[in-house]
Amino acid sequence: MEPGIIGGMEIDLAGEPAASGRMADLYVAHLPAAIRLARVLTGSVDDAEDLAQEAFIRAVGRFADLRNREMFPVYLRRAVINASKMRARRRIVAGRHEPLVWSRREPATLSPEIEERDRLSRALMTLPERQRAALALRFYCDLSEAETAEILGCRRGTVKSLVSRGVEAMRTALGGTS
Amino acid sequence: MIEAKIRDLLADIASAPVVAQPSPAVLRRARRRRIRNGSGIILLSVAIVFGAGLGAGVVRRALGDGAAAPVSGGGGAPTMTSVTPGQIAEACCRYGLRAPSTNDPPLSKERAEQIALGRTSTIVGGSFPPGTIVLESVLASTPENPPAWSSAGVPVDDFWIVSMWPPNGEFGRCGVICNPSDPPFSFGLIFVDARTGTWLSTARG
Repeated sequence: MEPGIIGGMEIDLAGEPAASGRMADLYVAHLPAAIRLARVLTGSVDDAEDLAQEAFIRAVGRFADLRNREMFPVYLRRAVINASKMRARRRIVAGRHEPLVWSRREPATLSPEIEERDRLSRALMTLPERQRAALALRFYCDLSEAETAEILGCRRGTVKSLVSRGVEAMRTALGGTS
Repeated sequence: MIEAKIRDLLADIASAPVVAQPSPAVLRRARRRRIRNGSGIILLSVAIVFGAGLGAGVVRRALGDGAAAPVSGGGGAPTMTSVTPGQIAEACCRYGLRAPSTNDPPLSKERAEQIALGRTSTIVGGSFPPGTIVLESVLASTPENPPAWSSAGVPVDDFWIVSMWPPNGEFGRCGVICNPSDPPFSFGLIFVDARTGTWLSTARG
């Protein structure tokens, strides 16, 4: 297998032990971004790490099939989004069988700033998975509508719609003041 | 305006330090996947273990119903408030939270302050009820609004740390901080006035 250049690094994943260091480099170079994206999608540090690792394994598993290895980061990002979707589905099923453990009590008065962030954050986590992914790709990853559409596997118009609805939901969460 | 707020929020959620350590277990899985995918290529023969992520998962699975586990920091000498690092770790595991890890980056005062102000992914998510014991997160509580523990029979006495008040008795936020990279200080508490963001005090175990 020909060595590939990914993120400025020479990678030959087909090679034997010598490749291990490069694999590690690949991990170090790309996983932090994947974890951060996963955090935005899941709102959980633990889940994000698990999810990003799973996505990395999937992405690397398909490494040989990549026509353009420069695209590995994009492929990894897509794997994160897909893993997040699968996680959301599993959550729905698991939620039907899990007893409610906590009795929620609202915290005492917080500063307006913290309260607003809390409201926004909760709103983000209640968005449908695709809306949240669209917001994350557009506003966190700063991708264009076309790039977002490619990762989500939909049309640009759909991305516009997803983002618009997501933003509207977040606005509503803030009481429509912003 | 709202878009700017969303951008800020997403950046905040993603901003906490990330530990990305190459490790053996995942690489073994990657190798198996490659073989399963039909390439027949063995990627690596080295074993590395992921740091926090897999570690936390392993610990959670190992704990099952929350029995004590040999996680990092466990079994340490009793520290202030008679809570041992092991108890914290156990509590974390019991509630499915991230356990202390020797891979955790050192904790700076700025980072701790950020945590206490709720500007981390863990707290802005709003997913923790007040009083939840969390590492790298925050408790919001007052004497009038004590920690709301589950009524489902969760034993809380072991985790007295969660019901500590800010030392001056004023309303504040109490953060439980784990800093295993600074032994023997395995954890500490920070107290920050949630209204003003003022750093009240710091205590270390």
